[in-house]
Amino acid sequence: MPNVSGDDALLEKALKDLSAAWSRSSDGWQDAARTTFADLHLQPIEIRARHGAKAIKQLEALLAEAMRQCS
Amino acid sequence: MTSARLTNPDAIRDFRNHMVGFKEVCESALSGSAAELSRVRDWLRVDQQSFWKKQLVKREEVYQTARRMWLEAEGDTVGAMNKRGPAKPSSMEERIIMDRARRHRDEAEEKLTLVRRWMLKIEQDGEPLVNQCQSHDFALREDCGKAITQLDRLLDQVYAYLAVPTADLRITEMPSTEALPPATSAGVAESLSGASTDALPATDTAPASDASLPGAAAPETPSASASVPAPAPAPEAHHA
Repeated sequence: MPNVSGDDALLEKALKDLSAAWSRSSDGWQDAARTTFADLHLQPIEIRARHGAKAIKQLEALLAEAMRQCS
Repeated sequence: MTSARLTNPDAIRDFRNHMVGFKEVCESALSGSAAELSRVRDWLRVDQQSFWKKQLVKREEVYQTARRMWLEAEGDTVGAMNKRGPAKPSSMEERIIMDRARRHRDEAEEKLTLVRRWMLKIEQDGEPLVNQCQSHDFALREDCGKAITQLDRLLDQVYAYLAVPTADLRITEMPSTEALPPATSAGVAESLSGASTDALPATDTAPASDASLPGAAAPETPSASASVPAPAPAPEAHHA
């Protein structure tokens, strides 16, 4: 029986790590370029990654249920 | 000039490296969805469907055999009663065996139906989710790529401005490139490249580098804080 990968958890963790790294970077970088970068790049990436993690989670739940019922 | 402050370009570089790692995780996680769906689909079709098909045939045979035995037992019971010979008291045992065999056969039939239903459901519900994952994968590759490019551009501009090797960059404050004439900027770079990180005081309002530079201490120089170029298309564009 195939294993469910847990990629959604991996992606969620990567997102959390990225967010923490961004917060840490404020120690040495605080200017308008930072704000612009957050608005133009970081926020859309975070939103997109969350949607991606949600899609993976739904897919994995579906596959796990199929395996549970059919094994 | 925008009020800006960059106390350490390593902050941008470190975050840029995190972004590269994040992009790799996204690619790995999202691009694997199609393969994952295929693995489960193949498992259902090749393993489970084949298994339960064979089980159904086998269990049907067992059931038919048990049914024949029960019918024979029934006949023996009735026949023995009519001939007054040694009677078979009951066909109950054969009946129990037959019922059990029928339940096993029905179970295989239900499993096969279930496997086929899930094969269909995975096509109907799973494929759109895989498409979503692929769409997010492509978009994130592009978005993360652009973000990394932008961070590279910012770093290039900072390092070019400072004109020192990356490994030597340990600064506390950078004066505005707009505020200082080229000669002074070069002086900043020279001054900073020879300075140790710990030796430079950090301040939001009065950078040590400004104070140490001739010509940079003019009263009208609004260079109390560093200016990281905004993520504009043209590399030479700065905050105004």
